[in-house]
Amino acid sequence: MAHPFFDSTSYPWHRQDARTLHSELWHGYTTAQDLDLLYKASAADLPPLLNDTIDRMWKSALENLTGTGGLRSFCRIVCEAKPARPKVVDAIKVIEQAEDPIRPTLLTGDRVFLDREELRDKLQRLTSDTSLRVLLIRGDADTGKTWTKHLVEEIAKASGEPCFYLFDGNAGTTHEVLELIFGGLGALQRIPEPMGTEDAWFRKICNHLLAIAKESGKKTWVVMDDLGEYETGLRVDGQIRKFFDQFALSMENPEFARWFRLVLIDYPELKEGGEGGVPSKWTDFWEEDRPDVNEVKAPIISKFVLQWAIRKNKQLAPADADKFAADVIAAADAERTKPNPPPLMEAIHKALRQGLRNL
Amino acid sequence: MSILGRKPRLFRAGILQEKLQLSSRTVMRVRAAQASRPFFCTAFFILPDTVVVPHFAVSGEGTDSLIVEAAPETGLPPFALEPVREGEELGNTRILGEQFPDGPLLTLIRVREGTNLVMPLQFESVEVDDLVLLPQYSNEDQPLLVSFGSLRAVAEPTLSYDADTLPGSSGAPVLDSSFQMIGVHFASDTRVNLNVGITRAAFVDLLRSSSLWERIKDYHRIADVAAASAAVLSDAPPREPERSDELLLRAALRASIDPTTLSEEDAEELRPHIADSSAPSWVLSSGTRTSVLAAAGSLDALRPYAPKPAETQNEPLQRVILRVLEGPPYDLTRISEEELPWWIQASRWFAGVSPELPTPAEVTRVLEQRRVRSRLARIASKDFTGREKELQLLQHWWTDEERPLSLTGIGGIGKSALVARFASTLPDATLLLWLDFDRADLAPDDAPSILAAVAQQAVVQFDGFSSDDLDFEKWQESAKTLGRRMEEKSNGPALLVLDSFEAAQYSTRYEDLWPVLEAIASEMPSLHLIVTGRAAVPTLQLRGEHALAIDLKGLDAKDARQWLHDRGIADDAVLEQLLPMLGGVPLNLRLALRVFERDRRIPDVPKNTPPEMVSGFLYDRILDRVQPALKPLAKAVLVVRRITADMLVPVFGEAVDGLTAETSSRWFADLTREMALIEGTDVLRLRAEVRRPSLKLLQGIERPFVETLDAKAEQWYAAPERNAASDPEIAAELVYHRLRLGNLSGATEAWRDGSRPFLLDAGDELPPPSLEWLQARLGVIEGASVEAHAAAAANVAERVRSARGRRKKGLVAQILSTEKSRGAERPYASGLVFHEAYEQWKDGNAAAAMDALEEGGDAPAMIGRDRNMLRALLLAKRGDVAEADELLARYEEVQSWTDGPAPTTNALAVRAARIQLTVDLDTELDVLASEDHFDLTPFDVVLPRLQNVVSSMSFGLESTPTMKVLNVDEPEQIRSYVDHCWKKRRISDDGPNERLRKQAMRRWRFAGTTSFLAEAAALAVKPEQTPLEASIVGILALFAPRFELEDESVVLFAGTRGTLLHLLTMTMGDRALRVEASRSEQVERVLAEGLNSNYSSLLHTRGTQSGSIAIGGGVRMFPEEDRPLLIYLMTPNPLDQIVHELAGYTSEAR
Repeated sequence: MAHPFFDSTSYPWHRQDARTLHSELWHGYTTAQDLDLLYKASAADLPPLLNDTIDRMWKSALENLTGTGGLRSFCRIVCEAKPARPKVVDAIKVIEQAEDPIRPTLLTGDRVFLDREELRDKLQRLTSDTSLRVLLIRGDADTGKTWTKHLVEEIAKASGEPCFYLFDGNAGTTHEVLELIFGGLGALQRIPEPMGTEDAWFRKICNHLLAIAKESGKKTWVVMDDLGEYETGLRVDGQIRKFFDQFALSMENPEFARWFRLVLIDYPELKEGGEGGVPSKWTDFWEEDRPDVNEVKAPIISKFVLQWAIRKNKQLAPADADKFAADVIAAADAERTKPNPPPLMEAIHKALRQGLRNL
Repeated sequence: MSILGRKPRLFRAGILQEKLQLSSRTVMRVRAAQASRPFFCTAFFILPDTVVVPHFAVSGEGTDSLIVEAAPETGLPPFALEPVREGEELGNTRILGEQFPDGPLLTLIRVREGTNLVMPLQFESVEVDDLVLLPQYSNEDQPLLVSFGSLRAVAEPTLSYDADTLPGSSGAPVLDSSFQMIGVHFASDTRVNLNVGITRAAFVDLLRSSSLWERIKDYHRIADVAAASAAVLSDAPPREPERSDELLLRAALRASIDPTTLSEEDAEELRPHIADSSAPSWVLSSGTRTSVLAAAGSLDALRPYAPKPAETQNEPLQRVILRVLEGPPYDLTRISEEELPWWIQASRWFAGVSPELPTPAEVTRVLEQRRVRSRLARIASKDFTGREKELQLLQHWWTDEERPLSLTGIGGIGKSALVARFASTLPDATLLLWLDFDRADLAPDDAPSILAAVAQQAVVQFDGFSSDDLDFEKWQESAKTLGRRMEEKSNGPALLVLDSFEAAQYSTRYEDLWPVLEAIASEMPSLHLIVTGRAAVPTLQLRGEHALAIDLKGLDAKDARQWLHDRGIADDAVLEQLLPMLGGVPLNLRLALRVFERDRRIPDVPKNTPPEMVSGFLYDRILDRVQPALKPLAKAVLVVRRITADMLVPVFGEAVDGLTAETSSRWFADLTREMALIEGTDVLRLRAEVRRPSLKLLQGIERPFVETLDAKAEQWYAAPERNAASDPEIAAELVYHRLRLGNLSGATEAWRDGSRPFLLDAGDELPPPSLEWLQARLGVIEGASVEAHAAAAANVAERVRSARGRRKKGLVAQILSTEKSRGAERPYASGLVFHEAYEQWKDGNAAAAMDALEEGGDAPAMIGRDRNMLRALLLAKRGDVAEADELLARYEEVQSWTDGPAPTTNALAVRAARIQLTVDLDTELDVLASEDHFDLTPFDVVLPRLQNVVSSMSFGLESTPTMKVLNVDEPEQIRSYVDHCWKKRRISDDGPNERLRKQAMRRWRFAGTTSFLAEAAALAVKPEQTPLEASIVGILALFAPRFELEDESVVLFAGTRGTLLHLLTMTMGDRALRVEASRSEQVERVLAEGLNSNYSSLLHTRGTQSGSIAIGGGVRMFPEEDRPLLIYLMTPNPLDQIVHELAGYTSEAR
């Protein structure tokens, strides 16, 4: 599991905890001599720091330490330094506990995101392994497909990358899809006018998006939900799916794929007798993930509760977490025996919410 | 290293001192006087004003005084106590054992003034053998004592340990090696000679029953599991907010909400129901919206909460919601095309309150019906002009002809626009089927995709038309049924347009489409077919009739002149200059107009338009997928057919700004990614179908530029170091450029017989005399050239590869079966032996695969090589390693792979495969289990655990070993060192150990006699690796461990990039470990038995979806010594990968 600070080659300035540490350092150690002492003790062969204002010197120091792998050693040295700077030590403790954004089960806003280990693996590959470029989320109703977007947003946020979530409530037409994406990238004026055939237009849109993304220098996540086909019909205009089919096809180009991450939720299922269930021209750049609520069992909840306790700075013994998890499962099972039972995940989430309020 | 227990029990002296000092401040001495005799025990603060004391210290009759004090060395005075009788009694001593007297175990005693000396509680788990230490006081008047020992047993609620205690130690905290409290000491169990206390969990349970529990819980931030469980299991859960609350109702009737207009309270209440609360505009999640609307019960109940129309009229969705609220009837024919898409959602959201609403499917159908015609208008565009003759021709064809029509022309000439214009003139009831081959879901060799698209359009245009019962996988049957049904529904001729057909032609095997169309047309006599594309479609025929071919040229000069004139370019002199340049191409006319609109200077239009055409026509239309920064180079490379990294600067350096020796590798890497233009990785080839028309245009506009580059390329290939004399492909390129330059004698001189296949498709790019020269050279045999036979075989194989690349297993089977059935008719089908055998192997039938290969026998050149690669793989899988290696050895030179895009990588992969054959994990596991490995060294094995075991045996002194550094760039150094080591070894009998040693010797010989390590290390630093490259890097991992050998620690360095292990961890450390199902059984055993770390705790999925196993988080989380094997296991097997790629599975960057 990659630590967002210690296993990174660049200091993660997009993170609030990273900025807090920087701020506490230059408020806590205000002279170049103080800085130099700690800096040089942290690793060999560090580049020298140029004389500058102390906050800029600390900025360079943190970047150099991260780049050379000396940040962990630096943190240990600062924590043991006398006299101690409690605020700096607190800031270091926070970054030491920083989690790999792919793995947490408690997301921003105390949102619970249990299990989905296969999804997490795939998202990890989506971020780091260029053979996987498009992730399809498929599965039955009420299995948590849409919930996927919370983890995707968390990952994007942790990397400081924009993430656009599009669904049947905000994207009713292809134009609205484009307005949300181009608008989010600050390039509303650069949406190409519809011209020629639909697919020629889609290709042109993708070319424009690539140019804009390269200019911004940031990878962009696009999550499109509600692409499914149901008995009563589609959830959104079919032209939107055609657009994303072409968008995904553009991901075959490594240059395009370098700048985008595409997650298509509720993508239509393979129809009986068909192969793959994706457009014919897609090659091996996509994979699907299917949430399986039946995999959410007591050990997973127990693990989650232990992580929750760490995040909330609460003391919880593993045995107690096991007991609580068993009670959550029992409560969810009981709820499911009542008339109009909720989906399993909803029942588990409900029981968890009730429990966590009292834990 | 000699860490003997589960955890290190070594302390940094400074920290130990600090912790012990802390203990002296948090562990209290209790002095009691019972019957005037002094009595001591140990205690600690659980709250700033509450101390935990063994009950017996305060319970003895005649206890007349009690003093709680910190260690004397702290200098703190004794604490003033509340009266003893107010203490709280907890637990029972019987929990320690039946032999103890009945009575309370603990007492909580309050002090009058708070302290900051509270003992911290921690909740880490402990295990037997962990170090424990007890800070304690004795009955003697002594300072704080500390004893060390091991935890010997944990059996809730008690724990026992062998750390020493003295009378007076009862009540002492039991600490672990991190100085965390894991229990409270109370007694000694003389029967087993151990000391006994209660566990932390038991202690907390006792505290839970105290009246101080809430304070204790808050102070120590203890999660209250009992309370949480009670809440979870309660039958009366807290009421969830009613979703029909007014706030939610208002939100449900609004397309979006500006969160800044909400009160803080409303925002918080609404937030959980918002799909993306970080967005500037809030939108209710659809699930909530649907349930809130349904809960309201009726439209009447909803209307009071609707926004006023004036507030939100700019949002189409809001207009739709308000229209729904007005109530039925809902006449979709009166809804605009702009708003119709939103009715799909609205009809679902409001279904619970307005049953009269159409279904989403009905809305979709109306929308698509509308689009059939609106699309035509958009494609033709409002600027459409002229083309009367062509339109008349089309009309004539429509009424009088049944044969298909082929409309060709360069990009931007207006093919689609002409057909769209024509189609829009047909009667409204005409069935219009438009298949654009730019679509992602349309492939001409994928019959089901064609039929699905056709059926979908028919469903939209015909009432009551259904195709739900058709199985498009059985395309022959379903195509006929589809055709029959469409014919029945049609009120006249139907039009099928295959648009952008060049996309079909260059990306797939398009001939497979014709039988599908024939099947439809056989039941649909009224069907008219138009195919538009940039290239001719010579095989196009329908119902046995060849196509009427129209090669679309530019607009008539009169129409073009009028078009420009009408838009403001009215200067005759300027038009005279401009019109020949534009060639009547509508796109070029628009580009000229763009120049005029930008500059507003008519005289400058002729001068400024050609560059605009190069960018707007050549680049945007022809090279529209090329990245902007690369376009200058993309333009230049159009002149050559084949590009290598080393030729960039010599051939194109003068033509492309910024292309220098320093930057050329970056340019080349960027060019490699331009898949729409380029194929390959090491040797790039331009896609002929893109290059050909583009080159023509470029020659027209910039002939000197093209000729210069042709001359540069000719010089490049003619240089002696290119070896054109011995390399037929290089000779072919030399011939090609000499022919383009008109140098026929030079071409004659350069010609080699083996060059033929490389010049088969070069004719279109040559001037007439050169073309005739080449045709004479290629020759004709039995009505078709030899090369045509070869091309046909390659064609079929390519179809198979293409189908596999798109995971079309059914299509692969179909092609193979068809070719096999043609037998003698198509002798070249024997070239498909490899593909048939491959399919057998993939289906799990290795024996049948081998039979197929044996039956096919040997074959020349690349066909034979492909068969031998698969043969080697099958041999290796069944354990015939020597035979497999012998076959592989034939193909480890670059010359064996020049037909592919990456010959160097392929040759290196063969070497990697040979090295991989030296690894025998099963034998290593057996040897490990047998413990008979005295004569092995870490060099001989790859299992980390076995390496560790044999290292320990050869390395025993507690001193730092000498580090021996070997560099991958210096194989000679590696060979010399390894030879040196081998010479000192004893040779044993030919048992498993000796086999491992011999294999290892081979492995290290590869490292010491070839440049494999250096070349693989170069691949390892590539930011993006193809699977084949990754498989090579995986083999590199075999050489990455630190080899502990006698008194040396041997480490391989990758030049200046650090150790091999560091390099691999940096580039592959974050990748999740995944192992395919086919390898999972063996790999799981290897992971379970062969690692030093316990992998089972990290295994988090096994076969839930794909049958694979996965370990989350990547190899970085494993100890360094285990990482090389994990990297080796997680990367593809090189031989497997070579064979997969020969079979056509894509070699995407990974």
